[in-house]
Amino acid sequence: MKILNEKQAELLKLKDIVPFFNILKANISRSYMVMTVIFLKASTLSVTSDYRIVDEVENDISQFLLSKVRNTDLLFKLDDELQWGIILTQSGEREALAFIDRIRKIIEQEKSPFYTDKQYTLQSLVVEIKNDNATFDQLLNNKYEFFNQVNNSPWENKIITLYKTQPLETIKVSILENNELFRDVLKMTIQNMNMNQLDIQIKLFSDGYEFLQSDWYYSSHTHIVFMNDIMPRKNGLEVLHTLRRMANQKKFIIYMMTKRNSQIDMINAYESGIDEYLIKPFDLRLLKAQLKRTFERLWS
Amino acid sequence: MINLTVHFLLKSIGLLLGICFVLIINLMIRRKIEQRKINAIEKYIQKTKMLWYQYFLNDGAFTTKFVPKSKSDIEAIERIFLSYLKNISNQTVQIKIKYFAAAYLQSHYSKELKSRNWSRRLSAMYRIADFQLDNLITICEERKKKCKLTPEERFQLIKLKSMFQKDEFITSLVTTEEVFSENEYKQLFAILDEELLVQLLEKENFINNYALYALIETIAASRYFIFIDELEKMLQNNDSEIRIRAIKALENIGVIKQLDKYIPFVYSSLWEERLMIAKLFKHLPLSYTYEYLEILLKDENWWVRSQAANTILDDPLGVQKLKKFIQMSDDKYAIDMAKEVLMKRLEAI
Repeated sequence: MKILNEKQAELLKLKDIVPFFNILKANISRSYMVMTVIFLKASTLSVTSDYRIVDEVENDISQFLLSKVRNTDLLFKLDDELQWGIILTQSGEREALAFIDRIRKIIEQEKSPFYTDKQYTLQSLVVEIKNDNATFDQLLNNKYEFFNQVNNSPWENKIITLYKTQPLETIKVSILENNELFRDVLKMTIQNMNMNQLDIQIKLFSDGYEFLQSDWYYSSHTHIVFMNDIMPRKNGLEVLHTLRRMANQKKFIIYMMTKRNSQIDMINAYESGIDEYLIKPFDLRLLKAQLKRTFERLWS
Repeated sequence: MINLTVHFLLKSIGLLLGICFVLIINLMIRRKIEQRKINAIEKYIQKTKMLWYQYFLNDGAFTTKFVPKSKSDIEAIERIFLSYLKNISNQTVQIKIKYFAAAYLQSHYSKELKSRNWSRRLSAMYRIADFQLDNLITICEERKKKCKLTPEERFQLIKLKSMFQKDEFITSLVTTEEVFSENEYKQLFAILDEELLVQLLEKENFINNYALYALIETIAASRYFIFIDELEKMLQNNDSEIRIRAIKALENIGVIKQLDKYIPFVYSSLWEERLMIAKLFKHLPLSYTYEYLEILLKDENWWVRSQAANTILDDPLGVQKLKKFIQMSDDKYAIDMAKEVLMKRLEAI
């Protein structure tokens, strides 16, 4: 079967992949970008010692995999015979499993697009990496142990969760609200949310001026700002404009709390740069749900 | 020349100083009392705010610490309750506040309603609305029969009826001789449900014009389809203000059932009607409305011409139509307007 290689991706060597891996790993905690490494091994029950056949099969499988990976993924050949690795950038375990499932279906439907004389199957090891503790050597050891255990069994898949634990992430939360009681209610509500792996630091401000006078918003941490639109001294929109003019403005996730419920007010607020719009009085369960989604979205 | 003895002057100065001294002492005492009250309120809030939070939002237990022992405590409770009611939407919290207020604050407000100070009476009426103390409406009604209420109190009373005695509200509104401002009527109607708005619309001939204007605006904001027929009937009304507001409301709802009903407004002598019709036509395809929009594009009024050009451009075929109009028309004002609007729109893209 002819495999069309329309992608620009190329097959990398093991020694080339380690620097890429280290850069991507360093980006994990900085940009909340998860990555997943897949190790693949092709095997057949029919034993062959003919190195020409093995070479041909390796070439076919490499071409097949190259045609299936995205431009953002890195495909590399391992030193061991009939073994490959793929780094899926910005993708978690779920996407990796979907990828494996997809190629499995293609192979089964097309009765092995690579090397038609023998029925090859793929064994895979999926490692999602969410912290910077993992080293490439450790992953290779994990791979070695797993592929030694599987003895040419058809379509086996293993997931390693060792590196899935997120590092403790500091998130700053500012509450800008002139009603002291409501300010406290918001604080207690957010504090009571059980968010694992997040160190949520909350600070309260009675108006925009007090917030902008503080140096609380200068750090590089992800910063969630809950603010009323109407406040003494400096109102919410003034704070919004100040924050959105900052160089690292993307770190701010801004919730506007307001009594204005017209569509035009909402449109203006979104166009000015808010991320969520809460019309007072609002249900605290709604706020918690939105906040939970915000935290989940931090990790892509 | 007036002869004043030194003794008299000294006595006068002494008297004035004495008065000043008494006033200062009075102010200092008042300030002290006020400060003590502020401290007492703050103390109650700090002592109970966490407990209230647990009670309202985390199924925390009721505690006797909540029960007010002084007027300052009541004021503190009011602040706490209003903070929750104005900022948080939660039925459980509303019910808990209602029951607490009925048990521990009702007697206080019933006394306040009988106060000689109108601001205290009015504040009590506001709290009745906030804390849903519907039992106290009868006291307000009795007071209305016995003595004259201020306009603010009369408005607040009818607002309470709209909240708690919906059946009687429309009758009260129709029968009352009281005339409120349009804004006040809007406040009243904004809290009515769809069914009551329908009932009120059926009585349109019995309510005053301000109320009718406010009712049309409320319907427009609600955007309920069921009012379309009634609004279309209003297009025949003799009052031009009602006709204009009805077109505006229909434009807001955005549904045109029969185009024929709107065509006469293209030729209306009032520019406001022509303007609103030009705006309303954006809800129909240009194939139905272009011939009328072309007439409006040649209108004598700048606003009407501008709106007609914008409405044409809102249609996917609008740019093409307007370019053709610029080539074919001989009306300089209309061509200028078409060019101006077209240019602005293309720049925005």
